[in-house]
Amino acid sequence: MPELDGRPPQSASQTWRRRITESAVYRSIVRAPAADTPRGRAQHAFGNVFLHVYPVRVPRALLRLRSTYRLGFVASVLFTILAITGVYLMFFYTPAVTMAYGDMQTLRSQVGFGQLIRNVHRWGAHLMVLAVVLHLVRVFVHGGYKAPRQFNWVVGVLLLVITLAFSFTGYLLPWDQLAYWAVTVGSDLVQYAPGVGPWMRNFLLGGQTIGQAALLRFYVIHVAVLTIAFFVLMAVHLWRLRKDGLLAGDGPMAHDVTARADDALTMVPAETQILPDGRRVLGVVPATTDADHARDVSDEVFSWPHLIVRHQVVALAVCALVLALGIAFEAPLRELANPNVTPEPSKAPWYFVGLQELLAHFDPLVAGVLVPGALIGALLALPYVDRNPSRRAGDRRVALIVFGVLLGALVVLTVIGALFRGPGWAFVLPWEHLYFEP
Amino acid sequence: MTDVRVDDVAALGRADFGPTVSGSVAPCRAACPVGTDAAAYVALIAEGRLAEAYDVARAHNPFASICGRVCSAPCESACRRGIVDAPISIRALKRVLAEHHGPEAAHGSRWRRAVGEVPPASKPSVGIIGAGPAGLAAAHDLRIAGHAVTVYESASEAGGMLRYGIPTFRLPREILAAEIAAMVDLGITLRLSCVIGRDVTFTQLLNTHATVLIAVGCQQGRDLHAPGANLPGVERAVDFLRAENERLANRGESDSALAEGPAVVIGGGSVAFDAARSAWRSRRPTAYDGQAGLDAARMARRGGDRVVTMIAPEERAAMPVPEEELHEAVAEGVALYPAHGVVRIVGTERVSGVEIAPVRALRREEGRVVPELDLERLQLIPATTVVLAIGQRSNTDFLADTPTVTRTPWGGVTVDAELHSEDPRVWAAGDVATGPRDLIDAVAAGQRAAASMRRWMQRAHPVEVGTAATETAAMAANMPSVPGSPPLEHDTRFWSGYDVLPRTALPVLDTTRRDARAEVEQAWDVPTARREAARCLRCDEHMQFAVDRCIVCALCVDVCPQTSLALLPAPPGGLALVFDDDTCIRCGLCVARCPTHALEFALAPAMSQSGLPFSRSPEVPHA
Repeated sequence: MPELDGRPPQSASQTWRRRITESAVYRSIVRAPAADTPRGRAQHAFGNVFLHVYPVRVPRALLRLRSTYRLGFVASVLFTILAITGVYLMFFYTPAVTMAYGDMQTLRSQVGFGQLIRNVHRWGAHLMVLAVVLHLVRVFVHGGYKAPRQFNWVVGVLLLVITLAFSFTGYLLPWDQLAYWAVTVGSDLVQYAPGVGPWMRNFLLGGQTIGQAALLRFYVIHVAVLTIAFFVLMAVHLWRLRKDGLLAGDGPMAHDVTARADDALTMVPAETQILPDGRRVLGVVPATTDADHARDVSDEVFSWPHLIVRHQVVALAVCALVLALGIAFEAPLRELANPNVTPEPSKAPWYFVGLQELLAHFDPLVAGVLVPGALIGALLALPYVDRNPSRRAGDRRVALIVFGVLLGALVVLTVIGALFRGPGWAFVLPWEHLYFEP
Repeated sequence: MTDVRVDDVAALGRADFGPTVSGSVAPCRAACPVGTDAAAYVALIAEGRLAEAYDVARAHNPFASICGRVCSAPCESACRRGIVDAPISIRALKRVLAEHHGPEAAHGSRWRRAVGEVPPASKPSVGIIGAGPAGLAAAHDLRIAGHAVTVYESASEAGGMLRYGIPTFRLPREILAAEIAAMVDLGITLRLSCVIGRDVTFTQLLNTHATVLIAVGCQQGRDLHAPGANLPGVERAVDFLRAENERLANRGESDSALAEGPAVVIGGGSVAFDAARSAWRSRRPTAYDGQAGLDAARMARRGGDRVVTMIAPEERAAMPVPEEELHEAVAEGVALYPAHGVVRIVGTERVSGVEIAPVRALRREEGRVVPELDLERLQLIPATTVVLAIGQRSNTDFLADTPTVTRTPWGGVTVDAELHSEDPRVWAAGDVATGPRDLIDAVAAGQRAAASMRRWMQRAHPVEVGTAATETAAMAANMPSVPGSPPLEHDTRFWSGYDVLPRTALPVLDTTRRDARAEVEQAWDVPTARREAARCLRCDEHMQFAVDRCIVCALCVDVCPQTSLALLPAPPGGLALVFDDDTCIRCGLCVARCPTHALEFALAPAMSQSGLPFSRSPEVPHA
């Protein structure tokens, strides 16, 4: 049966487009029919290796920005940008203490777009940490970790840890004073862990001090170990997302969706053959699974083009943002790392600076190990501890208040540590002198 | 055909497409009065299996070739593809089949060859009055069943309204002759030019035959109740068409009897359209036997085509004719005044015009539609001839001496649901029993009457008729086997753009080349027919669901482009897979995506050859 398309072409470009899209070669690559009919759209999302990450149809509510703020998607776009710019940087970088800093200078002065790419990589990394954290906050506020999504929340927390590790390991690679001392501060926190602390620090750095071994380890972890781990966990994360639905229970629609599941979703009484709207009951599957699998189609739209086009716009906006940042702001590069000269103050990367601030007030064991460990542990355990099934904000006051207080504390500590601390960790007003380098 | 669900679909906000599917026969088949399995033969055409397709099309309809040209095609009105864009051109597809395998084909009727020897006429004899579609359809069925059948026809040739009503340019006479010959060839005795009441009396018929079927149709045009309706120049459409057809049958080059000047046709049905289009042609010279068509110089000398105006009470969309016919009439230059009624016919010694007014509303009065006219907006249409196509009545005066048969006020015969009159040995079928209807209704009535007569004769003459079992065996031995619908080729669905294919336009003769004889509508070639047939949504294939295989993954719900599937909670704990027969386009994506082969399209159990759903699905271990 030949390809059947009765529509006459309207213009020369359409004729050519038809000629190409109906050629045997094109049809061997793209098998789905044109995506301008419902069937074509379904087959595009269904049969395309890239697009089939999406369901064929999504709830209409998902198209609203405030359903997710697209934060998870933004994070994955940033990851893609970081992967591409990272590969470019790898071409010009040698993970050796004698060469790394020189490569940075070469990158700035002699490599085409070298500095721009490095800027984009650095600002993208900071934005990704921010996006992942905001994504976590959004999912928490919307109650997205509740059944059946408990484990996907855990995967998400692990992805946050990986993102922080990415950023932290990448921090050392320029091998300048900023990198060296920030990582020194960060890795010093590890050794306060009772018993295993010194061993862990030794394992991480490949020695007692930050030297060639540490640089190589950080490099390998940054470009290989974390990347592989990230891909594996992302696959799980997206897979679970597809299995559990992109929206069920998210967002300000949380209670809309709950209401839909309870009330608006048509019920099929026993022994019904024909529904009032004329639909026919093909069969009733006994309940071996929960009713979350119920799926009405009355308020769904095709992913292609509705959701995918919105995602493309978001992706373009993110690209534009990091490019603008890369053009406007230079990534810092201080003088060559020198273990003998400690800059004042030497601060951890901004996302750890809250912990560094905590160090000023508490015992290192508390500030460096117990608090961060407890935070991560609490996040991992959250979906199993919080058994409240409701996603409505009104039903979750305790959870929201606790989370809000902790998040607020972290933000306050980070702001103080990053902006209000100067030499000797003394309190300095940022408008008098700013000791902060991102 | 019985368990078709007819919902008040309009109330649900959907387009009204008549019967819906819902696990029963396809809507096209349900809509066909004779029950032709259109879905099956359309699917066979799509696969290029024209011979089998003809078997399916012919199985229920001895007038397949004629229907391929002039059927009112209720199947197309019911076609579910109309929900997507436009219905399948089922009638035109049937015509392609008929041209290749019908009696008009070069090698004769495929069906006739398959039937072979007809059983000898050993059963009680039946007399049929009228060799129109109803009478011939009944004769066909009764003769195959082994009855001696004699058909009495008052005209000099068989066909009834097919010959004397429908114009040649819609139904070439060779086709008509071939189809009738194929039927008569079964061993039907045809007595032409035999008028009941003049050559033979009805009582004589009753004495000669075991049973008698009256199928004389509605041959008399109704009169208009308006001032001036008796003026010279007012004609009845049936009389005009009969004269026109007889003139053409005699190969006369003589001009039409219609007076010079513009003509007005009153009515909006198919007879009115036939009359209007014939009137338009009546001034055109007619080509015979390969002679070049119209001669522009001769046309010019005659002063151009006749101006024809149609006054119809219905809105344009409500006219009971296929869209193509309306379109062609307009293309030929027939001026259409839809939703207008006649106030009076103007003229002193002869018709000079018709005064019309727009219809404000249509009222039903005693079963007749009475237009309510807006008399403030009068219009005068000049005309030298007025043709009335506002309904017909029957002439059954030959029954005057037969008090056992009751007649209706309009000359028809009163019958029960079995088409049995009050005389136990007399049946009536077709227009004479129901009033004017379409060709396919008449064929269906003839078949129903034949079945009813056979049942009655079986009771009245059990020995002669034989047992039902032997009769069925005899039928089976002589009837060609009717293949079931072929399996749906999902590959076709995957690769073709069938869901965007528009309805294929029918090739028609250019208006400048049209005369009273040349057939307007042309046939498709086979590739075009296959393309049109591929648009079919295969309503005869039904969604089958194996509950025990379902793992509630909802992938079918997700992939369905038409949102025809849904998984809904079914208390007390269960999920119901719900399917919308009306919107499904049978793309097969759900079947392709189902990981456990729990879904399948299959013929309805009653219609599939194996009768087993899931006969084609692979075994799934651990499912």
